[in-house]
Amino acid sequence: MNFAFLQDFGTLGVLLLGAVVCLGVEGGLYGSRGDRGNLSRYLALAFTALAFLAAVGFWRSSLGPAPPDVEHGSFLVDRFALFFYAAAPAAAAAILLTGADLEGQLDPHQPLYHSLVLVSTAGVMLTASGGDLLTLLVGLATVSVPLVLGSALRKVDTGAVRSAGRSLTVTGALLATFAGGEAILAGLGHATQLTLLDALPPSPLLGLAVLLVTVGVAGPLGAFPLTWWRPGATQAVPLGPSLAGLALGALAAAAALLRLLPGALGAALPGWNVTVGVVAALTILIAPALAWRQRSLLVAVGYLLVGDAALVLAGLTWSSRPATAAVLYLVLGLVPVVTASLGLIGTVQLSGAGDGIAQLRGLASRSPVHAGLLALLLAAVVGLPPLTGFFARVMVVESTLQAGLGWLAVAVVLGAILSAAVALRWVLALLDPQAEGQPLELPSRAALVGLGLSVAALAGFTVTLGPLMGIAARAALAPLAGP
Amino acid sequence: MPSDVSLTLIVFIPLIGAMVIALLPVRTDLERFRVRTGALLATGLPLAIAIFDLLGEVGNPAQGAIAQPSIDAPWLRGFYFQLDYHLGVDGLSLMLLFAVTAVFPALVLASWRMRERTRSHFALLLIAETSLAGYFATQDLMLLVLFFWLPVFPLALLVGSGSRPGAREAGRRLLVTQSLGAAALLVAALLMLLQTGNTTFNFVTLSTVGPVKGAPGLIVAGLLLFAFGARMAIFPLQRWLLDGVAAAPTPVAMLLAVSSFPVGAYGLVRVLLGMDPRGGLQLVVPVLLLAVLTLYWSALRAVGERDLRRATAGLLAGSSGPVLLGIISFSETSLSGALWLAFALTFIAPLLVLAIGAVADRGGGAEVSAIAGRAAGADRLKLMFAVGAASLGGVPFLVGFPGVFQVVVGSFAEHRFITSAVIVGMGLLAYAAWRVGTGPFWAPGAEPELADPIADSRGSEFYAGWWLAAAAVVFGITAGYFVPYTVHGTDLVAARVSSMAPAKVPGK
Repeated sequence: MNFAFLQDFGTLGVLLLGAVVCLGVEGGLYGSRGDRGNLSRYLALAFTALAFLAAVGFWRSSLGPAPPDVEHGSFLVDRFALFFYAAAPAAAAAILLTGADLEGQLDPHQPLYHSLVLVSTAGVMLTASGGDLLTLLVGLATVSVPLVLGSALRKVDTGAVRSAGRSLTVTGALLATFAGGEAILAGLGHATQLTLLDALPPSPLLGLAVLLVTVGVAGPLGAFPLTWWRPGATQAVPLGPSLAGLALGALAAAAALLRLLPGALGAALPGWNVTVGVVAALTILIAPALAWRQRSLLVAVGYLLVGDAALVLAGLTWSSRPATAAVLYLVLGLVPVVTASLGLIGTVQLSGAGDGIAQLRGLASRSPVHAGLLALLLAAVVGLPPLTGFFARVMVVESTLQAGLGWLAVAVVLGAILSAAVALRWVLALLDPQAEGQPLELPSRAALVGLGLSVAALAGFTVTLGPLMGIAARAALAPLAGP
Repeated sequence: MPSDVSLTLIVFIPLIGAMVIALLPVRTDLERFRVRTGALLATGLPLAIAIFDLLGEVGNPAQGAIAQPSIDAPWLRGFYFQLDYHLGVDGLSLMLLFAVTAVFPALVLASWRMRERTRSHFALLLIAETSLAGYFATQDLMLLVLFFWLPVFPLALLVGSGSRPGAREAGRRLLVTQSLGAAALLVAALLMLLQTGNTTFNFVTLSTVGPVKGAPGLIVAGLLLFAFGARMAIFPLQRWLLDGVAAAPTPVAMLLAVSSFPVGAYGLVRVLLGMDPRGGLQLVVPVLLLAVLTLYWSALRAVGERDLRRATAGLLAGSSGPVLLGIISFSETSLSGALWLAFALTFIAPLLVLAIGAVADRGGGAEVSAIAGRAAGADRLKLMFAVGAASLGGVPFLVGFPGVFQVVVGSFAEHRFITSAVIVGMGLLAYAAWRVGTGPFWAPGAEPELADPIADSRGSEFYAGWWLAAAAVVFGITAGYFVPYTVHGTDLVAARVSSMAPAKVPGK
């Protein structure tokens, strides 16, 4: 009997099994009522660790001279997918750890939330393995819908349910937008397989399809024209699902866009990168400008992260292996930035200190650990050297120049400067010696571990830039060569 | 020859110190003392390594033309470009690197009495040292971009968190101006790579491959001039420095002065002339005009300025004029002069800022009318200012003289009119310095006993000033030992420019 399918689907299966076990905890099968949250978190962490190790083992076994790609119909397990098979569980672990203190908002349904996070993580893998248009759509829906549902778990606040309803509507509309773009592509190519899309006939509808696909995929991350929506939605719903949505959403969006645009359409539509570049440039410039006016750190950082996520789009504009590797490195660095920054701000917010500029003024003198971490994370969010975002930006700028889109390079640089000005404003407020207030309690042990690992990743990804880019370059082969 | 790890230690010991200091408590005087002592240690160790392991290099001037490859390890492969962790020093950079390591202990001493934000101040100061030392120690252009950008945010934080009026605005202006400059440098570096078809940022490779030609070359040169010119506070990009020095606490203003002129001058020589000589040649006329404008505009501003801190910043910005002239004259002598002036400014600029800043701090303001003659009895501050101003004016046996002398001698044959104008401008700058010093120290008719006298420098502040003044004197007297090494360092740059346009370059 051939057990190869265990290897091919094992990683995905581990996460889905973990989701079922967490559901069991939610249903009272295991653990006492007061302890279920912690129990299911540790179980979920164990399953993500198992999935991560399985993915790493599979990656190592796929490095031989023989073609490593495995196809099960439209489900591909190539090196590109394996990159996300390892990245997604790592991201899920970061979400579960850094967001541990935020889960109180979801009480008593933390196990259900953990289950949804695991399903969403599996959705990232499904997206990365997508070999046709329908699989990509299903994958993206599997990522976004569970976490939107998770944001409705805050029973004490009926507003959260309304906000979750609005988010669900927007998510549905964006999935429909993506499906619309895909329908045009399928109609023009008379096929849904990505491998068949590189021979599409020239048509003005192709540009529209690229626009719809781009907005549909990147919209949940706040790409233009939804730049105004995302941070506000982050503020209105429980922070845990928002944090997870942004981190896992960035991974899924990168996977889907890389498969679809440079991977499948790269040769068919010469000007598609301009469309993507325009959406990226608008987002990159508008997001920090909106962040500048905010009085809430959470919303300001939300806008800055929207600008960061739009760099993925900017990096896509040149169809090449190095550019794809750069996007993979960028998205890998984005995950700890998102989880740590939103996780810490949420912890500060919930501790009663609030996240307004007046409330955070002078935080350095009363809670130096919080202030130092916030300053460091703000520096990471805006990509200051020598943190990981700096080199990601440099590589994105190089990709845009290689693509002949100098205006996009200028937009990326201006966006970085605007973002730095926003960060300066907040860090100066944190360092204000005149303000007084109560010291804050340290985050819980789990959150501290998550924050520590994320901060280590921010610096570590710079030091290990070479090896990580080497891995990303190997992973980048598959979508460009076609599945 | 430097050992394998000496440059790495010089660059990263301050960063490690910053990380340790960031974790130390600062609730009591003893804990604050620990932070200060830690900072002094973290700046003293790189100086000791530089003295014992690097400075001996200058004994063999011929080595100045060759970068000593201490460490060259691959960092990034598989992208459009390669990155290397490549550190090394040659005649262009060794003296500047040494100056950076020598000046930071003085900055720590000058900051010794700071009681507010002790921890963040010293941590950011040490990050600034890492960035400056890394900037002069690297042999890879992308690392240079990284180290050029690294201090911008810390400096903006240090300036913006000051308590004087306009501090926040000054910090924001610094951030925007210097970030734009750093971004221009980054884009120029990437364009250079794109246009030459090169894949490595290695200095030697970029200095030997065919240069960027035509309009792209001019664009690259323009971006580089903007980037390094903004850091040197050339006309009209001076406001960030004037506002920053005026609004920041004195030790921070000293740091601003240290991290501006040497960085800009070195970048222009190393990157603009070394890697885009054709673009540099196209910019001769604008740069000459900028040199004269910077010198005269700054000197006149300093003469007319009532705020002594701003006037001092104007004096320093004016000194960018002769540096620019030396750079754009392309001869080995003028280039060496420009670099030596940048080296001299590393000591002179903080010394002048310290002397005037101390007077203004204790006098209750920097308005000349408020402190006129009140520092007449402050002999130590007076002496510090005199040494700094005399060095800036190119008085023999002080550190500024070899620089001014070489710039004038090396530039005169090629640009007689402009050089003459610069000589006159230096006179104007000396007059401005005399005006600035006269106010607090020698104002006619002011009797110290009539007004509230300003206390003289003592303790750590005095030691900081003494250290800087001593360096200005020692390097002025011993310049003959060090200058040949710098001159040899300019060999390759001058030869490369010469090969592009032999008719434009004077002989040695």
